[in-house]
Amino acid sequence: MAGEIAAAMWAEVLKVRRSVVPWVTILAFAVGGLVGGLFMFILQDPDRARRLGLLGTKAQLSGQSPDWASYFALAAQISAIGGLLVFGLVMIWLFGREFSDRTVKDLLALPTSRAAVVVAKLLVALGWCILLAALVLAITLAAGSVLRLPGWSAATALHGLGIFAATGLLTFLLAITYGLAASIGRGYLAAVGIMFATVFAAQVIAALGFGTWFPWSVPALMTGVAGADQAGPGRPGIAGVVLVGLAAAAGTVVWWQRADHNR
Amino acid sequence: MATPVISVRAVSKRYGRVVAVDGVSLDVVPGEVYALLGLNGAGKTTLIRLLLGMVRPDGGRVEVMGRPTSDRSVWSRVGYLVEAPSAYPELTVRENLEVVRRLRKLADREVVEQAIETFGLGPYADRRARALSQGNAQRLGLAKALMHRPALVVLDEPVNGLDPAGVVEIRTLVVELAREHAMTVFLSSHVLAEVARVATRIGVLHEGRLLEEFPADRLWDRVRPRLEVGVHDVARAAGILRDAGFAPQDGAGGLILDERRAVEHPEQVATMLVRAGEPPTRLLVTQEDLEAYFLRLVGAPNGGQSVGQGIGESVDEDHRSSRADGEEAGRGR
Repeated sequence: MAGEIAAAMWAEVLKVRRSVVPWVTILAFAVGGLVGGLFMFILQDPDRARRLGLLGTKAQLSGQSPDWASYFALAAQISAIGGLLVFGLVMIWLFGREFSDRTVKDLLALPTSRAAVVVAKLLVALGWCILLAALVLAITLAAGSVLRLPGWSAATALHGLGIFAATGLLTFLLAITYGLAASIGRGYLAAVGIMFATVFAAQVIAALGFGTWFPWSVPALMTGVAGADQAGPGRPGIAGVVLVGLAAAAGTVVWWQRADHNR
Repeated sequence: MATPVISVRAVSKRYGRVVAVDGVSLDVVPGEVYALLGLNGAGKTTLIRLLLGMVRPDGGRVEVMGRPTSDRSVWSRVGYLVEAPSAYPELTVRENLEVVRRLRKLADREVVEQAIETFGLGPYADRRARALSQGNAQRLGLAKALMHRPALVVLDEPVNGLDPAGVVEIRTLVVELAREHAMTVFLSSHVLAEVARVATRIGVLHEGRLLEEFPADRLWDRVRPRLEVGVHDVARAAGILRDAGFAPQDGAGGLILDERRAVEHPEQVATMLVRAGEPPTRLLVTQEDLEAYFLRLVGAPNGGQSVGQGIGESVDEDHRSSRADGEEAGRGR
């Protein structure tokens, strides 16, 4: 099985390398990271930002301070909310393209199992998402250093990185559902629709105070996006995300193995 | 009898209320070139997907190389091309083949270069698949299906969409593979004249049911003789013949009669037309063309419609061209 997964991963990595989709995701996350840095720059001196035309004359910023703790939280929010879209795009592309390009039929009657193909796609998606998260983190660290943000300490950095990593991992687990949707929907369209529907629902449900019980709201809640007075998702919320992710992964493997591939 | 390479027993498959395959049973023995013939929508592709384990039967049993299709070990000895060829468009021809080599667990790296050479893909080896012509995409599809020299090749409409030169090329390739490499070939087509050139056995599938199977070399015993009648006024002659109890069909630049008494006594037909003031310009006893035979077998329309039932010029043109194919096939047997 390991050899089969390795062979399938080689194929997936080759497809990713030859595609423009990785560049689109890199651009999206890089812009997200840079916007976070810009936000800190504005927070440092709002009057300067107004003079530079980066902030409207009547705009007021509140609830954030220009320091490392806030910046890490902001990076985690970018990873949580933007990540759901970008990681989702990664997953939808990896699975949906086989149906859109009609290449799926070439993967179904091979000595390499369908489960190995699915696992390889998930592992490549994981690696891809880790690289994207690392990119945001690198931009965060670089921009924070350039801006000489106050409040750096080992404890702050570890806490910020911990939240960032946990948020990224949970977001990745949720994105697996879009891979399943792309498989069942046999292409991009249904999965993209479901992705936007869940992202929208996550915002609404979190705003209503029930985010803990809706897994797609949980990563953002972990970053404290709902405000300091709102409780985090807690263990039930995190457990829900893990369950959804694992169920989606298992469901994708089972679907590829047992569904009728008649298109 | 040798152990079948393909064994299908009472296999059925439904999609909702549509019966795609209905109780089909067939065996394909080693070295055969078995052609599954059927109109579009007859169930050919579904049956092929059942053979390849891509869809699960609602009933019955499918075995490939003596094993159920759920047994992955058989796929190392099977190559296939289902429907239109597909490839990763952003990868080159060589990279597409390399992907298949790895997924097929082929240790020999040379098989990629051999496949490129065998299928004439050398000039396009480093070209991205999205830039290939339809013919070259078909070659790439076949190279992917055959690069591991499988014992069984399953080809779904392998010449669909190809130009005449491509059709000849693929046909020659299939025949050579079966002959020189002792491969068993299972292919589907909706063109009888085409499969008649390559198959050793033919199965006719219609509305999901296998209507009949026969050795390809017996095909010409099954087509009916017919009398082609050339006349000046087709409509008038058709009326005369109908009044005499015949069922004239439009075709062959005049009328076609397939009644036994017309074929056995064309002089009586000629006499009748002369007396009615519409003398024939030509009388010729021929065999019906393969497509007409096939359409008659499946009971499809336009298998030789009666005059006045709306058969159009274009249909007639098709008739003539397919007849030419059939005659060529007959000479080539």
